[in-house]
Amino acid sequence: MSTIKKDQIAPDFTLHSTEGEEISLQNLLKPDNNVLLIFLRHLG
Amino acid sequence: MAQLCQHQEEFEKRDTRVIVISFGTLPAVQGWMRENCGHFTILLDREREIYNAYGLERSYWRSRNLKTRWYYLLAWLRGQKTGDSHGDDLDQLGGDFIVGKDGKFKLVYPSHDPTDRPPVEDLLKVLDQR
Repeated sequence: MSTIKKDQIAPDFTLHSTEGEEISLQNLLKPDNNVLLIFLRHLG
Repeated sequence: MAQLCQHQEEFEKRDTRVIVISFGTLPAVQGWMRENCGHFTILLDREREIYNAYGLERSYWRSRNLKTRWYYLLAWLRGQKTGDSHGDDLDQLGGDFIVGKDGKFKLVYPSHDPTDRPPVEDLLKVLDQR
């Protein structure tokens, strides 16, 4: 079971994009964005 | 996923960046995007560090349950290519998260099986909540 809960601060991360750019969650939220994260299933 | 691609503008209107996180190899992911949609940023999490940090699971049996097999059968009948995992892990269940402007989770949706995902309308509703 996921231990992640609603209203909790999302853990920050930094990953590379397919374009080779380094992208962090903190940067995605700037300047004033929501972020929808979709973790792929093998169905897409 | 195709539904999400069609609603890209709706997410933009709500100041929302849509980010797809994949575990596949780079050429595999690019192939997948060409087949699906090219609008979203894809991040690579080959080591599944973020997948694990966000508490998502893998399951051999839930990835091969009746619902998933039925989905594949229908896709096959529609003439879609099936069985190509694009280098991804067949056991991954996936999930969806919405992080609000304040950095807190507005939605936490770990999938029960690979066919389980929140409808786009529900995602938009969560974004419309203040």
